[in-house]
Amino acid sequence: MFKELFILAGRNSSKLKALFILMALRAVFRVLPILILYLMVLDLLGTDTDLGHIVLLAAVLGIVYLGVNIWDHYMGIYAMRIGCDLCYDIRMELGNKLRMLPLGFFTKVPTGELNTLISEYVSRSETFVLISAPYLISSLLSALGLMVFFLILDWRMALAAGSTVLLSMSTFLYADRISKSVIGIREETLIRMNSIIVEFIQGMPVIKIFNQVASRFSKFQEAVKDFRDSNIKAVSSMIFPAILILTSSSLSIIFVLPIGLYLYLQGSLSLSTLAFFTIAAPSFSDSLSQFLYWYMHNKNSAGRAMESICRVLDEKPLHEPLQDINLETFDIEFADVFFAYDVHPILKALSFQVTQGTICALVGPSGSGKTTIVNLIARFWDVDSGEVKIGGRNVKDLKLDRLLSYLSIVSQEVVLFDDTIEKNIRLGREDASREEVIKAARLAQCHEFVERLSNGYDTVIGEKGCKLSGGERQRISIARALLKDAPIIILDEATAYVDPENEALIQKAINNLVKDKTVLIIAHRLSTVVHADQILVLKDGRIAERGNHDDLMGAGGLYSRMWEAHTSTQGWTIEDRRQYEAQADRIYDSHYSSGLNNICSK
Amino acid sequence: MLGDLIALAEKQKYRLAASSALSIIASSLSLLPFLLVYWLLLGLFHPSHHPEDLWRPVILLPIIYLLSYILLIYAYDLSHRAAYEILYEIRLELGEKMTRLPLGYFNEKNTGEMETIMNENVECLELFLAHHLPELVSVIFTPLFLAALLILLDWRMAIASIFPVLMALLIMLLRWNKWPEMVEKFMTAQSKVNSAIVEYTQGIATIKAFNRTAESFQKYSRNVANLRDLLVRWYEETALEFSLYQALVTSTLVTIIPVGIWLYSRGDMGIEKFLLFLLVGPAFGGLFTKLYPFLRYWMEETECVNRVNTLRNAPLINEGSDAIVMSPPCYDVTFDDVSFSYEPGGEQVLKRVSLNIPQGTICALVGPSGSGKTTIARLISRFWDVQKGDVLIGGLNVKFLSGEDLFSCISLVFQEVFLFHGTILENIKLGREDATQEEIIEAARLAQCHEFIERLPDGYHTTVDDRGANLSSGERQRISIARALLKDAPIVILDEATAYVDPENEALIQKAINNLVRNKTVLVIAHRLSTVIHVDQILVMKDGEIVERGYHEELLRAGGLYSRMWEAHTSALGWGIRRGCECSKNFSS
Repeated sequence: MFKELFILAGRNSSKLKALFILMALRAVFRVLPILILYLMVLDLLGTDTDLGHIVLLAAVLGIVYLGVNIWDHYMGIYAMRIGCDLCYDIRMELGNKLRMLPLGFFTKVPTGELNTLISEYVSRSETFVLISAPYLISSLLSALGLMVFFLILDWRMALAAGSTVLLSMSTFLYADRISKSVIGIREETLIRMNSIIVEFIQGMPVIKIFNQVASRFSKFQEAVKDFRDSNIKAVSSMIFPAILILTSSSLSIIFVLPIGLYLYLQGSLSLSTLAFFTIAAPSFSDSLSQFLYWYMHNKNSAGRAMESICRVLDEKPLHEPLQDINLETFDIEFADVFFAYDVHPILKALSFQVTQGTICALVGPSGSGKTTIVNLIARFWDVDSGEVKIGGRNVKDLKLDRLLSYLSIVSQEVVLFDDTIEKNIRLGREDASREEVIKAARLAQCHEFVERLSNGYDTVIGEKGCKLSGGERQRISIARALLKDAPIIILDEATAYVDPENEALIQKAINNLVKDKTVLIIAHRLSTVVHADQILVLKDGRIAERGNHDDLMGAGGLYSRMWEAHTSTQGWTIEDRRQYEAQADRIYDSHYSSGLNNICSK
Repeated sequence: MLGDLIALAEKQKYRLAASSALSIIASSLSLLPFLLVYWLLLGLFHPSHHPEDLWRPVILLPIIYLLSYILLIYAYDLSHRAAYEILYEIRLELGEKMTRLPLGYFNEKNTGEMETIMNENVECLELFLAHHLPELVSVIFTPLFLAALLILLDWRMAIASIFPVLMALLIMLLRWNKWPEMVEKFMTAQSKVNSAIVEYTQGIATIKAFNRTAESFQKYSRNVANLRDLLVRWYEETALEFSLYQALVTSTLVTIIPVGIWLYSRGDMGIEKFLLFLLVGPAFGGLFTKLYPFLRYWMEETECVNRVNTLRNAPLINEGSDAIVMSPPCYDVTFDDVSFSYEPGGEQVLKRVSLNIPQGTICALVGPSGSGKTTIARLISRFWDVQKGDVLIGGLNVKFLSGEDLFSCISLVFQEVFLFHGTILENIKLGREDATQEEIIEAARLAQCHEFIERLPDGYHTTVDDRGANLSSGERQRISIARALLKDAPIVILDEATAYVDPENEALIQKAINNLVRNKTVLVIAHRLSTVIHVDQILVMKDGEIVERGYHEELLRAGGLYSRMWEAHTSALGWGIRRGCECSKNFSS
């Protein structure tokens, strides 16, 4: 636990060390009052009680208390600042780390788990640093300090007090083992309950529409019941261990008194020492049990949390070269590329070239590798073998930032942030002026609808841009790409169909975007890429055919068959009623005659 | 606030009462050791004839400790059991409530909130019921008992012990009113950080693509810095009173010792009492150190209770409580002068809309986004209740139909497909529970699913993961159509955009849709005008009103909004991506 803490502390570790030293000193100060108390007890029970001396000791005690509390006050503030700085740094470091990881990491770890990591786990670490760690350290050190003092006073009594340590630790280990297994089961039922709840809530419309309420509810009920039962079991299994722990940590009193009494009656222990131990032993036992309690409490939660964070920080990022190279030309080349996400190969010996300034279309069935090609160019993953080159250089030889600066990616899934429209567009180029932002918006056909919004460009988009229509969000995404003005455009053509009512506008925007650029486009609808300079037909991870539209039609192969299939869908209408015209006439007649709400307008 | 918390506890009052009783007894028992020590000290300093007497307190001590621990642990066991029972019942209550909420309530924002309430906020109650409620008892009673004990032993020393604690409490009370505000600010800052984080991880691909380091992802770093500053500031503002409080409750000896010395030197008090108070004084003060964090958690918990209660009190849809259980005689759909807004008194989304879809005909709704098309579709299945006018099926107001009867007449096929975690067979079977395997496969065939399902490793028994991620969107759409086909409801409400959810499989989905709508009463939300030119009736909507209605040729002849939309549509059809050309090219050339 503490090892991870120091790893996470990073550059704050020296401050953290300073903090712990301060706490150690504080523990010493906490022992001082006990010492003074002892002297006082000695005096009181001594043969000639010097009141003045006792008063002096009392005064010293008062000063010590004052000192300790002032120390605590300022140390508390200092500790808080360090703790908060630490947490801030951890969060920012995590954020940066995530940026550097290959996208594969994000598919490996489900989003829910990742979010838990960054929010819940970091707060647990925060709580640990700010609250638990201080308690742990100070109670441990207090117990140690007292033990040292006890040893100096009377080693036999010290042993009696210290005997509990071994006992406590063994009961603690026993309790820990039981706790781990029941908590494990509990976590499982919790996860299951949470996901059933999510399904129940999100699926409610479907549940009601398909009249599944009774069966779904009973499934829900079962999951909630299981959770309750596993919790109850967890608690009842811990009854005995908990009693053991509490008892063992207060054993110091239970041992100290009988042994002390025996020794005193034997005559080998002074009354004052016995009296002192009677008073001081509870302090020791208290510190010890506090330490054990906090330790057990935190080991499985904060400890685990910090471990997970360290693991993420340890993940291997994409390898980057040290030197920053600039590219002059922007043709794209794949040379003999093999790639698989895990076991199943997606691309096999793939080779192609896209000349700078030309448009290349990728067509093929889903799963043929179109999106994968895009991911490899942007280095969201690295190839298993072969090379991906831009402007003649392997993409691995470019710094990540540099590579991404040459690419604009416009995909179907638009991610907009909960911020103003201007800021969202400006994601394309941070230092753009307002005029440049507006110019990009105009070219992307956004300007009109943005101006109609209540705050224009300063309107805040709701989370995930939910206040805008699909087509509007798409055009903002295009504006972003326009502003960036990168030499290579990678476009998922399905964006054009996101908003059928505004197709023409999006089409216009896209045309503005691709002017004079090197373009790679994932095509779904063959008619839109008829004029591309080069079409690559993908099948099973290889390029089955390549050429322009006329070449491919002439070849009479896969492409021409796809083209046939495509043109036949273009003329689809819902239930062509021409064959049922007679029936339709009858329906119209019945409308007019029955006087029901009419079809005719105006 | 307090009342709500107590009201929750009512459900398990016997268990909780027993728990509290045990807790009080355990607390009282935990005070006995002090008396035993006193007894021992008395024996030590006033040796009697029977030194063996000294052993009695020493033997009793571990017994008392053990007893008090046993009682304490059982008190916790009882309170935890009670807590888990209560949580179980609350969750069931909320779940049941959800089945009676208007369907329109289940949008993205609300479902997220509901999930948080059902999971985290309810869980927060456990802390209160299982820990803090029993602790409340000991936090209040133990100090009182101990104080009483001290007064009995020696009222002067008792005052010396209690005085600093009272000062501490006074200080806390003075600053008490600032707390709710600070806790609220803290919880808000925390949730802002959490949502910034969620946004960050979900947008990570875009952040990478646009090359933004975490700092320049301003929102995230701003909120994190904000939280840090808030915490530091909060602590600094309260540091002084906290330190004073701590100082006072831990320094009881500072008052006890002088008073003790004075009394002892005057011979007014025995040494054993002095020694005892040296032990008990700090213990008494120590009881109050737990009070501070306790109160802070209390505040967080009441906030959780509030949120749970908002859901418990959400307005329900009155599902035909005066329903005459029946099915409509026929299946035409009518809107009679319907006006509707999402918020009562808010902007009207539908204004005096009247329409009629005769049974067995197809009606298409066209119009710009936001004109009200989807709203009409949703109102038919009573996602919300209209404020004015009536929605009728077969002449019956939907308000008088029970949920089951209403939904058994309607099939909805929208772009968002929700599939449950289960097999493909189970998901299609949702359409009709008692369908046979043959009927299910037949529905799948008509929905053009059968081929791709057979190609899957486990066929119909392949498990769909809970967001259907192992199927393409076109495949999911066709399963949803299979479901609707199996259900065979007389009314079909369809969002036509489903047809091109998966451009590579358009032809298949189109076929499936055609199978679905045969011989039904159909309402289609249309986006692409060319697909609905043959329907029986087209309703053109704008700003919540029906501005034109008729069939395709009629509307073209009328030369109004529809014909203008048609022009725009046909010109967009022939577009192709082409370098250096801003114009769109006609498809046929």
